[in-house]
Amino acid sequence: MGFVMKAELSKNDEKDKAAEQKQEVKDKNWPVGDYMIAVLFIAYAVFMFVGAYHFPSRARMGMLTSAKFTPMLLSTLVVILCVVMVIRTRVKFGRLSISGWFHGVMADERMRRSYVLMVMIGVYILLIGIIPFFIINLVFFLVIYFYLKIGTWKRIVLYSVISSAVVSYLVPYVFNLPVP
Amino acid sequence: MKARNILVLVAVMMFIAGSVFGQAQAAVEDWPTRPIEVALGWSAGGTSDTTVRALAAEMSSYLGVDINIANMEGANGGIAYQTVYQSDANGYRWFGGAQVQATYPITEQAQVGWEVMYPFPAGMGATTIYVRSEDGYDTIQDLIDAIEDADRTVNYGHTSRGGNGHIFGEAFVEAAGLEGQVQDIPYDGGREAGNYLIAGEVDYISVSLGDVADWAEEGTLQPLLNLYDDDYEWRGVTFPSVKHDFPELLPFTSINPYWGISVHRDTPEEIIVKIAEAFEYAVEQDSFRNAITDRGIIPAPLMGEEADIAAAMVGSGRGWAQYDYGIVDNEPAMFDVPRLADWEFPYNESSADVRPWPAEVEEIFARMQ
Amino acid sequence: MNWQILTQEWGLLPAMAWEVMTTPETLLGLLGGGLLGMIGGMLPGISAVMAMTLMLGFVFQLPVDAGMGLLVGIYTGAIYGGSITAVLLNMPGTPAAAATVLDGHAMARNGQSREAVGIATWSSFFGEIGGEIGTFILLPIIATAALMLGDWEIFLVALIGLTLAGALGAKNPIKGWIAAFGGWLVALIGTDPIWGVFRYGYTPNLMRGIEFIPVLIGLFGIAEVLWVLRERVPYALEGTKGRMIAKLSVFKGNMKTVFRSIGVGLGVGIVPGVGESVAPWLAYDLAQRKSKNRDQFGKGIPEGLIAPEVANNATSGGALIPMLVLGLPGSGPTAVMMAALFMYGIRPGPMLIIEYPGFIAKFIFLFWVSAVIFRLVSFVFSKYFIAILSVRRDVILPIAVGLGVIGAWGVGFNTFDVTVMFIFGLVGYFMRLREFPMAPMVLGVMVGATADQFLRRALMTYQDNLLSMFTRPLGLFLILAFIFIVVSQIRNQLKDRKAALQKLEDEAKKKEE
Repeated sequence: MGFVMKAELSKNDEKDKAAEQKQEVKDKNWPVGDYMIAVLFIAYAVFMFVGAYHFPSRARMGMLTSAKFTPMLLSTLVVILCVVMVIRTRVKFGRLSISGWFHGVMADERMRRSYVLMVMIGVYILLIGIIPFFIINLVFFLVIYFYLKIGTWKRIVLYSVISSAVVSYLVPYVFNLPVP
Repeated sequence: MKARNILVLVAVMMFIAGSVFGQAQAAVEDWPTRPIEVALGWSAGGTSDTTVRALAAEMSSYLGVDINIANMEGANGGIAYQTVYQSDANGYRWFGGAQVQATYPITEQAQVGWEVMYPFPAGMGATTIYVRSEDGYDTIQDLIDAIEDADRTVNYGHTSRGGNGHIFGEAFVEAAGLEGQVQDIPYDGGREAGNYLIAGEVDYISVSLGDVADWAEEGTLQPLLNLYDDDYEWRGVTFPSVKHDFPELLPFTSINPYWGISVHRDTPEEIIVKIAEAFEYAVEQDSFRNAITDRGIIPAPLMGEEADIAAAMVGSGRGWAQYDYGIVDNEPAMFDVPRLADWEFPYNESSADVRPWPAEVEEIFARMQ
Repeated sequence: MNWQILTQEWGLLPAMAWEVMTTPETLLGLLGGGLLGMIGGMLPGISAVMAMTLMLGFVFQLPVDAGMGLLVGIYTGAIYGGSITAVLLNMPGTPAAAATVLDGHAMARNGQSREAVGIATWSSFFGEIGGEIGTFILLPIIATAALMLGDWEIFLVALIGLTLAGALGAKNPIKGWIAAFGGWLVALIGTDPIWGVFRYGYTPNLMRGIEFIPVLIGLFGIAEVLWVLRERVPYALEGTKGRMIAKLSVFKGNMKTVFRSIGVGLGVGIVPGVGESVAPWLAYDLAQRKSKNRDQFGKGIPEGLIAPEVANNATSGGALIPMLVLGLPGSGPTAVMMAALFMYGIRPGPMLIIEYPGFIAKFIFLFWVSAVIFRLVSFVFSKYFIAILSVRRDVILPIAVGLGVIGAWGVGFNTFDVTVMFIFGLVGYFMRLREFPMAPMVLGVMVGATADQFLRRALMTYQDNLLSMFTRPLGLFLILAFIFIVVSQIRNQLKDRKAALQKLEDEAKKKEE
């Protein structure tokens, strides 16, 4: 039940609380993820801020209408909001162990599966434009359907061929859409 | 069982691979045997889009194959231009839109300039200064007087920073001696600028003639100054030429946008000639002429060396203006591009060494005149 | 401009209606376009604009009315189709459907797929009919209002939309706002429209900037695929055999919501560039505020589906009138329609009504007919599309990846957009792990560039007298609305937290006893 994997206090209905408890049992350090995402967002905001700082400034009105105004304002806002979020998480969940979180994430089967899927989709996208579109589709569907164990060999091949035909010929034909 | 399935799979894949790679290369004489794709550097609905679509429709009926338009927006057309440059020069992929390729190396929006393609501009847009009719300015001098008398900074709207409206607007300010008394406001194209002029947010606009010509026909807006070598009549509206009050602005006509297609310069000569014939046919069709004159675009088909010169001059007019207004950091002199005042062609080695147009095309063009 | 002349269109409606109804080509165009649009809307990544642009070449082989019928059909069909995938797949097929997922998909997960599709169908019907009636009656007013909106007001509408989407999509508005402003920041990559300088333009593709369609497909499509398929046994939708269940009785208690949402769609739809994507959020927020079942929102309540669906269909009129009467397309689809009209030699703008009397009436009638055709078509075909979109997730979601790729590719025909889609898929997945909402980020990418441009242009226009910017009446009203929204969202948060803490304490006490 990934859909209800929530650990917020504002929950009040019974079902969600049960899921929350299940989550607690699994790994109480899960909210460390907030810190990690905050770090990533702050890094992104800082990058954007520094990048914006170097924009040529040609506004006659100075800062206010220059190209750097909005990016600098927004990245500052993002940093502030991230800090607020980190503080709230800290207050709400108390002390959390980062190494505990790391081990929890590593042990989580769903996380592992999602990494495998990411690699599959990533390689597929990387090869688009290099290998003919139909073939790369066919390979992608064969591999992913095999990984997802959708059925027998026959079914995997059949579904893959149909899916690749839909993606590389049928839809582009109907919509007059050039493909890679 | 399993082994058989794998065999079937391999057979299927080999069949598909064969059919994909096995497409025989059609001979040059047979061109075109399949649909042509035009990579259009701007979004659907704009002047580039409608002009090229109208042109492509007629060329398609002459050539007997579909011409599909793919809107590949971005970097002022640079992405589409670069993509077409990197495609095979087999006549099946053209670039479409405003012919500003000479500015790409200066603005770094693409790595190649006008030299790598044969330009086929079909229509031209003059740049015009419009005011609200209700403000009662009859001549450009009335507007200049009003700006000088104003006790505030006067705002004017234009097409986009570094675009033709902006360059003409600034040239006008300088020629009329109004420096420091006006502030330019950049909009997304002349249509939007016109909207804000009517709404009262700006006092006048400098845009392409066709952007708001219908408002002039309807009577809400009035043209005061037109960047064109003669007065222009359009549906009962007179667009006064710059030649009367500001003849010094006449060289700036090269910043007026040209719209059309461009074809890779490495394309076989036979194909270029066929394209030229189709182009000649298309620009003479009433449906094409009506489609563009309806939008206030002046039919101005060019081919041959004259087209090269027009395309190259854009680099001088726009490139230097963009540099002067601080929009780009690269000085056009880095590429030996002269200022309009010092214009000559060819102006450097690469412009002198471009592959010339096929003689047949020059003949077709001479016939068209 | 003489606005009185607009009212003559009212009288021409019956004649134009007769003309449309007696021309089989036009009706066929509407039907064909509708089917294409619906299918396109259901495919992740094929948005209304893209489907319409791709079909332009074909449109010109048809007579004017049939061609415009085809485009109207695609437009309305895609909005509808996008909502269906939002309900059944948790992937809004078009940006307009981003608010529909909140309660639409929740209903499907509760085993009410057929009911949810039925409600979405009726809601879009009401939205379209109501929105276009309103548009037609208010024709001169809309045309005037569109010319009154300044940069400052448009910016404020965008800001309100972003703030609302941030607060509504998430349990924790802070996370919603991080997503919204983070998305806005992404939108700033590219050429600065005010000064023409490149922002983060390290490559030609970055000079062009990040388009929102790959972001939309990535955040909603790819992230959803990763999210669902990482389960060994992905969820399955129940109660999906058969046609949609379209009970009108659901609407009995919700007519107020319907009318309010039509009003929102109409009003916000006029705002160019941002109206279409902001309206559903505003309608959702208002519905929630006025509802007795506030805490049920987001858990699969019909009201929460009705409000955004009605609103997103009602926006079409608000964007249409400025395009026809002023030649100012306020949205992507209307820009494509304008291109098509030009190709037919018809100039939208102030001269349209003089040169082609009755054209606007006819255009609006096309929307009505398409609304009716839709209900019939969707009723007949609902059995099949519900069945197709409800098949096992591990079969259908990989196909969604493939379709997402061609959708992203279709944006600019280069691999950069496909890569952007993948990156945002990863971003979306990691954000979801910590309950960051996706919709505000998509909205940020969609309206961010416009909002930034309009803000700075307003500052430029009023540089001599910045104060006068704040005294424009409409602007003042919008500022107050913005403050109200932010304050009330934060207050709700604090209240909810207190209530939750209270409850925990009570429970702890109970246990002690």
